[in-house]
Amino acid sequence: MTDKELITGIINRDNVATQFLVVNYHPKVIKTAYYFVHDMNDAEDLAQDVCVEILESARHFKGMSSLNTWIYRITVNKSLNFIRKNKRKQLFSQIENVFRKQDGYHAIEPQEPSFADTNTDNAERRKILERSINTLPENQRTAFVLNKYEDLSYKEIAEVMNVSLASVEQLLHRAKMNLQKKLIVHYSEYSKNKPNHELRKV
Amino acid sequence: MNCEKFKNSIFAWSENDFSSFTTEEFEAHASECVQCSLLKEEIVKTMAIIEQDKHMETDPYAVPRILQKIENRQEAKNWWGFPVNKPALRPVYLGIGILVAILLGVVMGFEESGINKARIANNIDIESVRSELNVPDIMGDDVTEFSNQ
Ligand SMILES: [Zn+2]
Repeated sequence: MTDKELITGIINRDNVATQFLVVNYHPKVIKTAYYFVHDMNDAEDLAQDVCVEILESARHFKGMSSLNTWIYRITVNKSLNFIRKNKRKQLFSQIENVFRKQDGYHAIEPQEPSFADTNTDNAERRKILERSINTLPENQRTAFVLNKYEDLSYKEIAEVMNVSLASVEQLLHRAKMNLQKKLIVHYSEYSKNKPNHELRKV
Repeated sequence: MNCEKFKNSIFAWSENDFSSFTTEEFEAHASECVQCSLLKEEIVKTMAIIEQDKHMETDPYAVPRILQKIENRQEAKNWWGFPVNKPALRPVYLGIGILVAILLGVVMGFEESGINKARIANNIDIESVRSELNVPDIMGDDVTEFSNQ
């Protein structure tokens, strides 16, 4: 099914087109959302929102970019909005916890996300990597995720982010430098408190 | 190459970007500085997580779940489960719409004609009609006079 056929089918509420969209794009959208939010349940919810938005706004798709680019754009925007909302929520709950602690209540610490990773070293590395990526500015993070996790070319990233090629190049360079710096600081801090042979067990 | 330069070159080295240093000087420092070598190893392993995540499997039941949710959403949007959005039924809905409009027009037309009749009836001068037809006012005072005669 071509992009045009798929969009026409979606506009006409054709069940075959809807199924084609979900079967072919939903798993991809879950993965992209996961690379941003790092939680599978949240990624699935976001992917559902993305699919609903595609179904509802297909008639606004002008075909100026490829369907793939359009879906990436919706997914990235929804994921970034989710992260922004979550940050606000976390801030409020932190403030609430401070007041609760003052009132003598013991706040329940949020649970770390769990991974089906049998290798504990890798589970720890994943947390460090995700935390470091999360602290990158939004546009650097977007360029980095699309390039490193999704293997998109600079041109494709420029289309998704609606920026120039030069901007993508600059954003990726800065993202890598910042991430490198964060990882160096993290592992150097750790190695200061550990003997050399234990650095491997970070 | 000193430790600082080495650390800041780890990403570039892992991407084979040797524009600001040579692989020989990088590897020479790694072989003589244990701390930097271990740091490089750890960062490379951390970045390798990205490759692992690319091959992450998603829940195979997520697709039927989302299809069901979309179907439920669609049904909730339809009126009493009536397939309002089915394109094949659109001419039928259009026909029903036109029929309803015609019926409404007819009903309103009838009402309008009833109102006009009432309006005409209200405007008739009863006295002049009665005198013209020479009919006595059976509801008025004349009736008693008439019956007394
Ligand atoms: Zn060194």
